[in-house]
Amino acid sequence: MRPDRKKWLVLGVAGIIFAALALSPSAVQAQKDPNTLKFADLEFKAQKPGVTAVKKGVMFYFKEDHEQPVINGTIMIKTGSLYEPADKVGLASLAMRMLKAGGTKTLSPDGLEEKLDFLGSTIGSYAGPEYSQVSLWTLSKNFEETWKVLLDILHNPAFDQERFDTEKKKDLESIRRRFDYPTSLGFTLFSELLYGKDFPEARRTTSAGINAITLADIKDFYEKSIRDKEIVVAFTGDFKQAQALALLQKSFKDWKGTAPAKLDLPKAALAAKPGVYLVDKPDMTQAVIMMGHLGLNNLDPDNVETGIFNFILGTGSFNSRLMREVRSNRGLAYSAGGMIGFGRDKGIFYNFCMTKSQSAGEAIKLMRDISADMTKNPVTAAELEVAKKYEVNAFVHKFDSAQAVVSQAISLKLDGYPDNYLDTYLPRIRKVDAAKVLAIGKKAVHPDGLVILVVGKKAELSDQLKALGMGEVTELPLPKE
Amino acid sequence: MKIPRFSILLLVFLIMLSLAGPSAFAQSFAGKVKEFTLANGLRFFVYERPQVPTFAGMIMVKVGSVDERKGETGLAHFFEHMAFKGTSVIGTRDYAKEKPILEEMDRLGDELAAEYLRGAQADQAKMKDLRGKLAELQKETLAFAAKDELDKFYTENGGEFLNASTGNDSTQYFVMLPSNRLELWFLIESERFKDLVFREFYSERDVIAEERRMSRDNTPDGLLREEFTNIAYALHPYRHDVVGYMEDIQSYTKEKAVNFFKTFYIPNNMVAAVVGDVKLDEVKRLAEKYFADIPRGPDPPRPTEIEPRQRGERQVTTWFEAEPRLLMGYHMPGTPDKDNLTLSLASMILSRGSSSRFARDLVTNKKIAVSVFASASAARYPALFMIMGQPRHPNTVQDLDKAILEHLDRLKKEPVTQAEIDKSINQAEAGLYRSMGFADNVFFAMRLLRNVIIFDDMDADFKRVEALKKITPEDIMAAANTYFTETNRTVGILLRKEKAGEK
Repeated sequence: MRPDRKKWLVLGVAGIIFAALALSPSAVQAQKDPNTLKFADLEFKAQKPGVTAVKKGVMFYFKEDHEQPVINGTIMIKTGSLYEPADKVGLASLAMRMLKAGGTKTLSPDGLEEKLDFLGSTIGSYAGPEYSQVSLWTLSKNFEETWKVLLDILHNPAFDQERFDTEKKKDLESIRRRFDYPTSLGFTLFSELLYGKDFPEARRTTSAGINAITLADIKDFYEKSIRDKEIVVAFTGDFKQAQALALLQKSFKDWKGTAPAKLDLPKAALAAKPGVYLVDKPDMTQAVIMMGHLGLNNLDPDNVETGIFNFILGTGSFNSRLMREVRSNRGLAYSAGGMIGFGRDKGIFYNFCMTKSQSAGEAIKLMRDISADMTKNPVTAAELEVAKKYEVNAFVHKFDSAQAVVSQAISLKLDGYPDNYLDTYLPRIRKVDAAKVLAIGKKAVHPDGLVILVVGKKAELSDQLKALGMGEVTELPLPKE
Repeated sequence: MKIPRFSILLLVFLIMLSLAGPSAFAQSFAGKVKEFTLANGLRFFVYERPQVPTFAGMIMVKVGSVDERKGETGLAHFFEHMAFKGTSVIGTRDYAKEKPILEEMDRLGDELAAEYLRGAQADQAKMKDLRGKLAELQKETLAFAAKDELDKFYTENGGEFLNASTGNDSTQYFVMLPSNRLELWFLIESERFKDLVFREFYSERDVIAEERRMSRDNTPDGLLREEFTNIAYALHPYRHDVVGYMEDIQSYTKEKAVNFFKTFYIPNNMVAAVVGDVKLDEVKRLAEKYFADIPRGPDPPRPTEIEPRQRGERQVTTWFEAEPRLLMGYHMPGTPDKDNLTLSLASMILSRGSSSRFARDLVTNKKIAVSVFASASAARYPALFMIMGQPRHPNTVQDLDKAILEHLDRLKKEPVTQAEIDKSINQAEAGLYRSMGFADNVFFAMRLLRNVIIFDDMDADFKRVEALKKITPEDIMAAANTYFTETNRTVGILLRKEKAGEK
């Protein structure tokens, strides 16, 4: 870059200041030590999106952001895989994908894809466990056309038979590929051990189940769980609120917005006996280790405070005990972590790492001790301070983009959190002390009730696992699917 | 690489995004992004986005696995891990007492590396003894250590997305912070390069060995990718994987690492971006204060290998307990060449969007595959046009291979339609505006700096999309005929053992 006068002036001034500092060793030292820099806590109030009812059963969340000529739109519907019949697992996912893949009354599947690709827009249609969504991303100049396609998908799906065949075959192939990665094998089986294989959060698709789903099932699912049901619409980006509201009123004029049927979902209870389980994968040089038990409910009274416990245990990266001890101090793993998780009824408490076969026993003992300690002894003042400072200073990142503000608000609402959850978040964090962290440990972590699952080479693991002194090692067969 | 969650994977992810269509600003970066250069050659790019009181800081160094010599593969990545270990002030309680122990460890470490390199003749008992001693000394250093303090400083100040990643072409360090912490970023980033202490050098080798086991040796895609690149290049250093060979990881010496650092981590080989709620003048003032005293260095040596023309198809088959996968690669010209863009357009016509040729014909209609993607490289040196696919049972990799070749043949024989070109350009233009909606500042910084490192032009991706408009169907046909030839092809296949009939 060409030097200009101003720049040299700045350099000169900087040089003089630097020379002055150089004369004083303590001042130079100060520049090297982050402790010499003092920052006030960033005072940042929780950001809220605009919320308004379009009509009964159609809520609208929005936040304008005109920096880029882009619009994100999402329509959320309260339905998902937890609601599908046990003999047709995969129905919600297939139905939601078929909304788009199957074309509409006026657009063939090919024509629909061609149109969206030509606009450079995307529409996604997916099922989650409790909520499903149809969403779009588009340049604002193409919003109108893309929105029309989305509405067409929602109002007039055609459920093309040939595309149904393609989507089912994709699912069957995913089942074949489900355990290609040892980690996905570990996560899947661990959740099955904890919840039981028929529990809605743990059950998985089977070839028989997918094959049993018919196009009539898909249409039925659409009629009963999607069409005219309550929805939440969200827009972020380069739109104008007033026009958007008018558009939504027109778009959903005839949409009934009826409340979904209330379903009684089962309560979680630990399915497997605590102990050690092994899946033999003879060609692996590394063991995947998952250990834990059931966790807490989303709305647990300690759901914010547990963040501090989790940070110190395993989510605080190198400031967490698991990462520091398993990886940093002992070099036993690249990836290590753990947390008390939250869920619809109960989430999962887990510790996780991947370590070479020879050190699996050592890693398990270490992780077990770390978790157990957090149920017996208070965390240190230094640990508590880092965790709390992090929560306070990183709070602003929860609101980094318009999309973050809106999608966070919707999730909290749908999951039943109180409206002032984000406003009370920091005051609750500031009150957490070591006694509270210990109380959470005692309440939610049970070192004697651990289910430990190891995926790896049995020949190298068996002796180490027996030596844990947790009784017989139960060998699990490699599931077919 | 420092964080558990992504690292090398993250970079791959980000690069894939940049191919698939990264986030963007209106028109171009120019005009919105201000640039200045310190006297020592360090270039800063500043983009003021005041919407939210946060910023992302990123330093990208023009050093990657391509800059490593034989016998020291993985060193760029290893160094990235070292850069989180602190300085003579950060990460220690008493550096004066720690230092002699670290020096003693280096003496033992050199001895261990020398023994290890004797291969089959190595004295295992001696190595075990040396490793034991190193572990003991490592424990001694803990008495003076403030473990992972660099991470702590960032984290307690609200640092998010704190990480670094190493790729073939570059290494980058990044974090998002509340905007009133700008000076903290300057202090830590400058100190980690001015006054780095190589702590935990020997135990970190174990961490990287685990990283290698996790991401390469025990996953189907990592394994296949490494075996594939090992044969796709005969000479060029793109042939070795970013994480390095286990044999090299086990035998790095401190001296090699320090030399590597001194050679490449110089201000005239780095670029920095600050994106978010900051003011240009303040960034300038702090840049002078913290970075101006790092001396400029001689231009680093660059790879001297030119990949020889391939004159016969190469094929590798590897086995893993997983469903089959296929990789196909053709050598293609680098970014200054017009054909680089032509092939980029060809890759979009083949596989961008569900109406693309591969998706429509092979996935939706014939159902031979569950996924097939093509990508053209845009890197520091000429690399590969890649096709990756997963056949759908009962179709085999051979079926998929044949079907892909038919599509490449079609590109050679009939011109693509203008509608296909127009659609791809629309998609590429939209891609320039595609936003992740989270960690935006980091992604913008990454994209900006990558444009600078690879193309020496912060607006390169905008200009490349513009240049696509000049490419004709005949250009694509000619390029297909030139590059998609049997003798220029490398094929990698992953199969289950029992299906391959091998033990």
